[in-house]
Amino acid sequence: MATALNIYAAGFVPGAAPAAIEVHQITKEYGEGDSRVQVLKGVDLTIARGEMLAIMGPSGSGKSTLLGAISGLDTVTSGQVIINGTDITRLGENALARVRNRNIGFVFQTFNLISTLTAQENVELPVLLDRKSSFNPSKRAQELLDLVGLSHRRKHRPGQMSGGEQQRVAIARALANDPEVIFGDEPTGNLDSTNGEAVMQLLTDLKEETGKTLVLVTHDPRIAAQCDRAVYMHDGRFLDDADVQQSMRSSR
Amino acid sequence: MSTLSLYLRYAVRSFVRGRTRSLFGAFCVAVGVASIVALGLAGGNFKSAVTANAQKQNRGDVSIVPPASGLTLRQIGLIEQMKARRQITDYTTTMRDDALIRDSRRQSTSTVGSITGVDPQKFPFYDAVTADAPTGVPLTRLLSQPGDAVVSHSTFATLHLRLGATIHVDSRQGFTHAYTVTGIVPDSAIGTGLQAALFDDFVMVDISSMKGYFHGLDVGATSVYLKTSDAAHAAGAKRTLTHTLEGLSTIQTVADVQKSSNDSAASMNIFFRISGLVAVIIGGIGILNTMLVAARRRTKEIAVLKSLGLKGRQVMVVFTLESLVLATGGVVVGVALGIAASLAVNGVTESISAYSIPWSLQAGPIIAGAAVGFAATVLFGYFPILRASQARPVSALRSDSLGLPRQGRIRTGLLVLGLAGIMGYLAVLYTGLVAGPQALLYGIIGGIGALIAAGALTQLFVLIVWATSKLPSMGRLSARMAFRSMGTNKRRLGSTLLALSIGILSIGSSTILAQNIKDFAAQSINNTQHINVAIQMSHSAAATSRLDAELLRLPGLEQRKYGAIAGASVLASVDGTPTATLVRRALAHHSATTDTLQTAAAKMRGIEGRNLGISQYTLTTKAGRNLDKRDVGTDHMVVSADVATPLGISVGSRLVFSEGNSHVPFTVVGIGAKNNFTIFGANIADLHYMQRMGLTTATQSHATVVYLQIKDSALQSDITVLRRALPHALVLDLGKFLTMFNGAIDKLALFPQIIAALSLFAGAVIIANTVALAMLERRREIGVLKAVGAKRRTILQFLFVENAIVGFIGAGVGVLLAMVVTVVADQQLLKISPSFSLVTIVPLIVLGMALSVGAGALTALPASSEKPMNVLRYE
Repeated sequence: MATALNIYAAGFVPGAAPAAIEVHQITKEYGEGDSRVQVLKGVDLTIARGEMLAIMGPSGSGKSTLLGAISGLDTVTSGQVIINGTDITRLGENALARVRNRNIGFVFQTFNLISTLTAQENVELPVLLDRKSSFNPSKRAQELLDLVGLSHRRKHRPGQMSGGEQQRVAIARALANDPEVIFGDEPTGNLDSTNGEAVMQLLTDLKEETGKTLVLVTHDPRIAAQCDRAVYMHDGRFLDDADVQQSMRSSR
Repeated sequence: MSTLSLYLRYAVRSFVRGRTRSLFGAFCVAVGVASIVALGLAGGNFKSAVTANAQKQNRGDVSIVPPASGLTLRQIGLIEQMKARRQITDYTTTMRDDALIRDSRRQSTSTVGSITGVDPQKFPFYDAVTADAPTGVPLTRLLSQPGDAVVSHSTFATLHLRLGATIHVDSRQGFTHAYTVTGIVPDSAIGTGLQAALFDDFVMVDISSMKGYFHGLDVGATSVYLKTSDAAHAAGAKRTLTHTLEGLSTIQTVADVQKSSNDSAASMNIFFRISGLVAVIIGGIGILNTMLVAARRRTKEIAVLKSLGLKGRQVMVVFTLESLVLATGGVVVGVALGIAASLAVNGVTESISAYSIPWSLQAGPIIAGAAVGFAATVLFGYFPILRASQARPVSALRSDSLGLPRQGRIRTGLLVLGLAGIMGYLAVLYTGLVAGPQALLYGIIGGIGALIAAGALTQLFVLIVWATSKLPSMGRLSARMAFRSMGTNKRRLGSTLLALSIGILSIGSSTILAQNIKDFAAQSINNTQHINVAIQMSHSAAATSRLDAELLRLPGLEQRKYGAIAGASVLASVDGTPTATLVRRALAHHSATTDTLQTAAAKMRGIEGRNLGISQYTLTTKAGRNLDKRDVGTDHMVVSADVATPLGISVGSRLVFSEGNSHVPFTVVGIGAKNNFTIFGANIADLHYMQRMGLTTATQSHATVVYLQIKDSALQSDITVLRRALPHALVLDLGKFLTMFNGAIDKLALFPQIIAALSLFAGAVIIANTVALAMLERRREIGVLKAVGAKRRTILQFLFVENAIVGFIGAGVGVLLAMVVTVVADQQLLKISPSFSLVTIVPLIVLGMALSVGAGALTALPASSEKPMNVLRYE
């Protein structure tokens, strides 16, 4: 299975950066004047290549905002986000789109597949959007659907699949251009426990076999426990290690 | 009471919260209201303008407009006798002839128009003709010298004239006279009718200088205006004249003009109201769309309300209130837009009808517009609201609930049919097309029929969209995305396309029809003649030899054909029965109308002789055949259908044409089709026969005609050479005919096009609305695309392709429908053969696509620049 995935694809140059992601002092504010809210209050974070990181914290602590900011889905108010040696906060709209297309993959809580396209076509999409891709879109999609165990559902539309199946298609889509980093925003949040476990198994296998960097936002301590490391957010900041240990113990 | 205030508050909040969606919905209402108000105001103003000054319009207490052949000198004598008997107090005559108006400095600059001679001391009896330049100078001073002439604005501009310039005016008989331009007069100087406004190249001179134009013809006047002491005398004079002039002249008293003005204002009003209704229907589709989406997007909200104990009926009250809030917004905007648009419509009406139309604000149309706005909103909104009320409370529990239940199909179907019937009845009442008890029946049948037609058309669109969505995408991602998304939204697209195609249909049918008429005219000239220049000159050996010498030197000459015209020959009898008897008989038996007999009378005069031995002439024949070589020396004739039909002439009929004391027999071998284009004579015979019978002797009423084919590159210079060399010949550039004709058709088509533009505008709003609604629903999809790395440009490209396809389908079907309408109009009304050119069709389709793409871009641009995180998390 691992042979199908090429970690060095899509312009990834090994050794160019020591860490997969470096985050320096990022802040994020919404609104203006009196109604201004600071959601991220100067966050620093370094994620090593091949690491599987869980971002935890209560609702409203800013963990999803952080994920959006470090994955290039959202902008930051200040600070730096360095993916693969490039500060993405300085990138223009088109360059940022290229990063989202080639260097990262995203798995959402609500799957967010395109409802009008089949499973196969949803997975092909990122490859098709990259004009310089070395992958054959159709072959690549078939390989990845094989990988997530859905080759029999290739021609089905999202509406014809269960939540677990949809999320597995979404994972296949996230892998399409063989990115270095996969982000997941509560990837099991909308699934029942069986399907949730299957999806987590898929993600951990992926990490083990391909050495991808995984960043997951989750509420679920069991998921955090399967990760190499967990960071805890509270009110727009990380808690320090001692607090984290405390928090981890109490949650067990 | 407090419940109602809660509902109202809820409705207003929802309307405000709906933002873009509410705005678009209100705009749909506004477009319908605006059309009703604009057209209502225009109709009212038009009516007061045309009915106001009947006396001025008639130019006298009685006006006599004879057929194109004019009144004879004997008939003028009869009118003179009426004056002597004090039956009328005074009269004045005018003479009008088709003419070629030329600038004497530049021989190549000319325009086809008319020359009208009037008595400036008397004409017109009521109202006064004054010049626009020099401002306010009356006709008596402008035409004080025998060689003075005033011209229309169009002629002044076309010939690049200046006051004091000399112009030459050539008549059909080959007579030429030089005039000095002393002023510019408005188009209304020669009449307020449509014809006066359309054919607006004219020269007006003192009638005493016109005699030469009718030399040798028994023409005393082409119009006569009478003055009487009172209305009773006017009516008496009309009775006398109807009897003595044998019924072919149009004789109108002021009362007649008043009545016909009222009639034309009434039919204009019906046209305005129907046009307004088309816009309302398109707007209605928009309301339907908006309310459907509003209801569907809020299924969950409705379900929550229902789970809190709200009944279906109460949901309907809330939504109906919301639609009334929407209607109020739309009505306010619509009335304002309508008032603005009526000013524009007024201007256009004024420019094409030569009426001066004072603008005034009337309450009636505004009240009607507001009423129609509210009624349409409630009626069109009813169906979506009904569906909203049927949402099941259980939907509140599900996160991905989409769509509304479809309960009670039969009941819903019956309700919709009932609503269609009511709308049909209201439409009939509003337009006043049918009156009395039948109105209800016609209204209901019409309403249901329209619903079924609209439904069928929508289904057709759904089918086309479905078929399109199955097309292979040829490996292009944007095509695939477009096809897929179309396939999923085919129902909503169906109604959007309906609105677009009605808009394109209304503007397309007038455009295509106008082009069709122009094409037909161009084709008639090209097919029948293969010539581009015609020369008519007096019939003399000296003139002919001079012409021959000139022609030899012309560099561009490719072909020439000689013929002759016997301009004063008039059809005297058919198979032994005098023409006058046939006309009386036709009138008595109502087998022909006065109009057709007038046309016939105009074409009974003049025979064109053609040199059949040398050249072939092809006319479209309705019966029998064309003349050719075997007819050389025979008395065979192809007679115009305009003459043949009302007088009962058929192939084999024996005709006698008389000219002075000579009577020349002919045998009909063919009937030329109604709209054949002939330049000098509607009836064609063999030149040699005519020579033998003395119809081509050198008199003023006989002329030589030469048709030339000149290379396009040398055309203008050759025409200049000919005009210089033959100053007394009429040298016609046939292209000018087309230019004049096309100009008239363009003007005529402008009016319905302006009106249709209103409904197209409504169509554009609906498209913008639908695309915008779709875009609101697809923000998530756009967010996903951006999350997987699509650039903004790529997303816009997807949407561009999709909207272009939608526009193409809607406009394509609209154009097809317009073509059907055109074919029917061509064959049933105009009796011409339909032809279609890409020059009109392609721009119409491009217009539809541009509307669709533009509306899409308008809403897609902001959606595509949204940050994906915002859309994916907060939508």
